[in-house]
Amino acid sequence: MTSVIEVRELTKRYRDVHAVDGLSFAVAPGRVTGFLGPNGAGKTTTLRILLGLVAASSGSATIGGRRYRDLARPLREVGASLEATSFHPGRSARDHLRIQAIAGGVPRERVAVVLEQVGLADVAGRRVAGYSLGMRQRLGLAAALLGDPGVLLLDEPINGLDPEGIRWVRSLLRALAAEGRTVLVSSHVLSEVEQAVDELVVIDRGRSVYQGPTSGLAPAHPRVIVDATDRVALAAALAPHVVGAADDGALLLDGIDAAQAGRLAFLAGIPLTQLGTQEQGLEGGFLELIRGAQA
Amino acid sequence: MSALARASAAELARVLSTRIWWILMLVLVGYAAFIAAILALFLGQLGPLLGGTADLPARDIADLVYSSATSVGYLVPVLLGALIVTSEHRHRTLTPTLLAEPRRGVVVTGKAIAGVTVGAVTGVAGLLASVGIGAAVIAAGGGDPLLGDPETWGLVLRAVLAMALWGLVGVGLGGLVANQVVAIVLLLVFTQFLEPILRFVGAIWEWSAQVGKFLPGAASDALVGAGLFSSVGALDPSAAGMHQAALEWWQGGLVLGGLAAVLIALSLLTTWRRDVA
Repeated sequence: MTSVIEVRELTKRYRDVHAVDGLSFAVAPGRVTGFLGPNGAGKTTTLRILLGLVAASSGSATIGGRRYRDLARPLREVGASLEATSFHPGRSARDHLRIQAIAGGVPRERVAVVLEQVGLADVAGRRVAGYSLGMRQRLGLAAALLGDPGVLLLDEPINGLDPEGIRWVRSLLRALAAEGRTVLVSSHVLSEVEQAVDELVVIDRGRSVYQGPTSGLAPAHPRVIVDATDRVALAAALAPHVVGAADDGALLLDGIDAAQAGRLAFLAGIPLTQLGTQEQGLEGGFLELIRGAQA
Repeated sequence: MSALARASAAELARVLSTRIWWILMLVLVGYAAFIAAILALFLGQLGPLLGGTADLPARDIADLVYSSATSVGYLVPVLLGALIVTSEHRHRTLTPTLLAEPRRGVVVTGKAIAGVTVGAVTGVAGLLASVGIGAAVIAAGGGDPLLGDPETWGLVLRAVLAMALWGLVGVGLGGLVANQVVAIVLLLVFTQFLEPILRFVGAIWEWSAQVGKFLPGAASDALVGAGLFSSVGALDPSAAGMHQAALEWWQGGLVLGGLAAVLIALSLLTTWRRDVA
């Protein structure tokens, strides 16, 4: 069974802060949708509202047209992994999943299946207290997959994983979407999920700043990288455009192209030792979106 | 299985999958057996040799000895009941619990059923210890353990009921307080310090004894039909002038059950409505 996740005009206020501010988006089945935004943008709050853990101030958040709390056996329809710390340290991974299976009305055989699927079968009897962050992430994924749900909501599932684990999660996300499931995966770093997501919902300070295909997220225009023996004088000549420094100390410029930068340096009588451009890729476009929203 | 049956079964599995349950059960069994043995030794035929009271009726001795499981052990079910809720806050496991069953009323009812069950099981274990060891010591001293007397088994049943109700009180208190450390400190201060003082001071005047009989520990002793505290007069003749007042056994049960109901209702209106972040 597949379902559309729909968030409409969602707002969550904490005293005077809008954690989520009139947010609307929809997530379709059959592909991986990345839910991107910097830390504190409202991603986790939105996911928790979708899951009925946090009450919205206004607006609606539904899965397949229904609120989470109206689902008769939610674990069989929606799988969620929210944080790697939500386990009783004294319980084993197997106990945790067994209890979730009892509570969620999921067949007990699924416990062994998902333990095998996430690669925890060998350590399933050990107390979670001794698990690494990566193992906890795997246990969180196992819990999300337990009810074989058509919808998956995963909050920062890549945090704490080693490179091999990251590759594994990416291919898992792809495989789940290929099976026709709805997959929403949050992250604050686009490059982490870039290769695995088809669609993006980018939010910042509780508001949507981009929704659409990953390929549609414009890569930032390239930055100019420029250097001279007398860096101080060069920086003074190009002052309004300097946005930072490269690893080697060269200046990074924005809002200006290489030809203009060269001309300004020439007019100021500064011989350049380096002049070029630096591609920023999608991550740069993502950061630019957020900077633009904050400006 | 219905949603409520699933929620209750999951709660019991949560309790049984932690060590604290086994530790507290062992403490209760050991403590109840120890106190029952001491009381049986002191009050029985061996009493006078040890400088204790003689000539207490066999019925009173049996009641006091067997009820040691509740009079000293009721802290265990109320603690376990509280931990059923507070450990979820402490270890942030409320998130998976509410993902499996998002209707909080069902979750709380499941926890209440688990609290009653856990309380009743601790009651059975505690009474096995106090009756088992107590009866053996009474018999060894030449006394009559009254194991064939229906009154003895009435007391045992009421004691199991009292422990079950204490488990329920714990679920209510834990739900209201949420913070595990605060809940444990509150329980220890109230049951080990505040209530004994209040019951003692309450016995000074007639009017205060009439109020003091509604204290939860006094209500519990009334429900069981015997308790160390309410038997001070029988144990120590110098205290005989103190005012004793007790509820009927069923009134004691109503007070305990009512206390649990009020605590659970208050927790549903407050802590249980909060966002789970």
